[in-house]
Amino acid sequence: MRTQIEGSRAVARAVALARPEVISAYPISPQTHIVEALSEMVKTAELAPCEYINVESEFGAMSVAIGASAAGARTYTATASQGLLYMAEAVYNASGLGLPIVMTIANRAIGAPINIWNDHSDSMSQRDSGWLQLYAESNQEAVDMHLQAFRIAEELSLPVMVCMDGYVLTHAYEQVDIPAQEQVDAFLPPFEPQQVLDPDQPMSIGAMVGPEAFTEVRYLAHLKQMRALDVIPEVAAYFHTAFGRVAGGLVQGYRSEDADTIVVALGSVLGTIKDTIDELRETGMRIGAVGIKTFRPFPLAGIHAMLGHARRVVVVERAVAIGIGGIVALNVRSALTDPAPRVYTVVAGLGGRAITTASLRALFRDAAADRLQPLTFLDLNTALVERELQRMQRRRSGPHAENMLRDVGAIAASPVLG
Amino acid sequence: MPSITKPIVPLLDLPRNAVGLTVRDYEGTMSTLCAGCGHDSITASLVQALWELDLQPHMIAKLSGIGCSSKTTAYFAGTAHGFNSVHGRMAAIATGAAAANRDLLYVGVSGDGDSLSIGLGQLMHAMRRNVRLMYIIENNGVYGLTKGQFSASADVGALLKGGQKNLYAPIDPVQVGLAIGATFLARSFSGDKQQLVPVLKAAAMHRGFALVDVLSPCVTFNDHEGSTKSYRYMREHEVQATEADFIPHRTAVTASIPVDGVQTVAMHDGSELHFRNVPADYDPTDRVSVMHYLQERRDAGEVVTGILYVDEDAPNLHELGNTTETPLVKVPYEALCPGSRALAAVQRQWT
Ligand SMILES: Cc1ncc(C[n+]2csc(CCOP(=O)(O)OP(=O)(O)O)c2C)c(N)n1
Ligand code: SF4
Ligand SMILES: [Mg+2]
Repeated sequence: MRTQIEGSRAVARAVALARPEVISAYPISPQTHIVEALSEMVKTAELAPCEYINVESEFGAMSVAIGASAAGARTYTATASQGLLYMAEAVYNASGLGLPIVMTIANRAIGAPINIWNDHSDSMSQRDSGWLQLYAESNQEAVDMHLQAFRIAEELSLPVMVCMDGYVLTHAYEQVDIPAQEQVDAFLPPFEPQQVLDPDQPMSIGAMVGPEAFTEVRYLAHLKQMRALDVIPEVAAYFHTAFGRVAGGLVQGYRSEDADTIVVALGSVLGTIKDTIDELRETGMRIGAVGIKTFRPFPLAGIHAMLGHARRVVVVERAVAIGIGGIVALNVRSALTDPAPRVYTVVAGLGGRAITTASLRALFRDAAADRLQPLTFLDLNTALVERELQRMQRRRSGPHAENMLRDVGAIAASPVLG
Repeated sequence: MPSITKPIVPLLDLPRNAVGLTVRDYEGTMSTLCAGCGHDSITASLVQALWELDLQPHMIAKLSGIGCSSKTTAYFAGTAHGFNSVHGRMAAIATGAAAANRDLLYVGVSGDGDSLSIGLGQLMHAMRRNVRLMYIIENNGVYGLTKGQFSASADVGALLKGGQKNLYAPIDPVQVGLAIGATFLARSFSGDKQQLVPVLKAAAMHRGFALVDVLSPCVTFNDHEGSTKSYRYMREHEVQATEADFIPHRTAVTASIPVDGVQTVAMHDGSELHFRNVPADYDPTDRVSVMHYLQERRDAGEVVTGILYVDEDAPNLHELGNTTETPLVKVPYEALCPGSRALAAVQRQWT
């Protein structure tokens, strides 16, 4: 049924339709509305049978999820930003144990400096944790990806993160089609665990593995992710048949077949990118886009097939690998073979900075003329950075964040530091 | 988050303390909390207490975690040092800072979520290390900043605004502190400045970890009928267990004249705590009697306030670690690393 609904609530409805049996979470913006809506549904028994556990931290949230999943329950949690970092040890545990937990990441920057707004630094920090990672472009896709995520996770016995941009998606009201319970029941069979703490067949989970088999266990985890490269498109195709909508999958092209310049991105920024492409196409520019829907496993073959013919690739990414530049761009490069298109890395939208069509238009024009630097920080206020570098000539120049805020007038000049 | 500077209103005749500062010099930027939030009253009491203690702001370091409560370090002692850390980790960061520089007064401000949910482990270990840190929990029973979910201090049966009932036993930081050997434990109410100011002053002068649990209603999410952390509930259920006067060092001579029924605790800097009107069988220096009393009053549905327990004799972090009187940040490199000859001399003892 199509309804006007907030992204978080829509996702909560989708998760409830998947009939999770245990949910554990700790609130953090911008994830809060999702888990609040779910706790309400558990309270009113709209979602039943389900146990909602209001834990004391994210480390607790993932640990409870691990226990619940190992005991055979379909398990869900959600977090963002600092919360994901705080849970990191357990995140690796969940994937190492092969537990099909589904977790929403309401993407938000990580500190310091503290920032509550959107970028992808949180989920990108866990890209090699062994979890599958899906990135939603719209709220409809977030709903659809969550339904698919449970199926993918359980088929592979691997945990899945569904990443959706904080605020941009989680807090946006849009028309979203929420499927009916019968449709979802038909799409998602009951959870049949691959391993379970069953009193009738006692076993232990969490063995210590030494050099004799550690590499093999790890290799198997990689192999399972490689299998996901088949499973994810299969599930997306099945979803398409069942619900009539295209959602998820590995990669999705937009006006890219005949393009010289291809923009690669993930998440909600694809919407703005597509609008800009439409505009630039009017002026005769041969430009298109490729959206990465699945970042882990990384769809090397899919990317290769879609980008191979381009002259240049512009990767617009909402995170930065400090000390090298792009994260997505590095991955994209490894998919390309000689003669490879030129790859430009563009770091954009950090900590909630808006990525506007005006900026993208100028950026793509520069790219098409090969006037871009290999690594660009979109809309960077270089003068502000220069002034801080000047201040740093004094040994005790103080904390950068405070200095720069004072410089732009966001906090008052301190009587001490002047 | 942009901060709002307070307008400068010339108030010429404000009294000055022993270091020549007016109470306004202990204020910070304008609060951005909801009007009526208990946390703002605690800030006001802190401003008063720090002013009355004649402390130099540059000798104070304010630390906090994350939450509405943790934002308040910006609203007092604007010229002191500040460290806004991450959620639940303030006690550990303060431990590190105190280890490196024992000269500063560490003032930690946290919330019930920050301290009792995610940060409980850090808090407990700072208590048992007896770090010299005044640790204020601005306790409202909810996570105010993330919009009012129950925290670990919510009482059984307490209701949220939407009617949801808390089923889980609350964690009482004072009882936790008693159990693990904390050396200064107090509870107060944001709405009772008369009690809170002396409590804060005594906590600041304590030689080790001083926990001040301050009930501080969240007017936006937890001040309704059915809440046990509301203004109304506190007015109806607060019971002062002890009335304590904090007598600073320099006035100790006149104030220490023995008075009937007054129990005096000497603080390490020469200040004194005078306990008046303490219930029979209650001794604020006897852990077991305090535990017993608190449990009994809690079972009777009362919220007991006052300076509840003091141990001025227990060794603190520095004494336990046998560190130098000189703060480590000021110890010259040559003293910290006396060189290979000195090392060889030490090693010769075992050859
Ligand atoms: C690791 C982590 N998890 C979650 C959050 C989100 N968060 C911010 S403040 C807060 C709770 C604050 O509650 P409390 O300490 O009681 O402060 P209050 O706002 O009530 O004063 C939470 C859960 C966070 N910042 N970091
Ligand atoms: S939400 Fe509650 S705790 Fe936060 S500022 Fe408002 S009243 Fe205070
Ligand atoms: Mg609170």
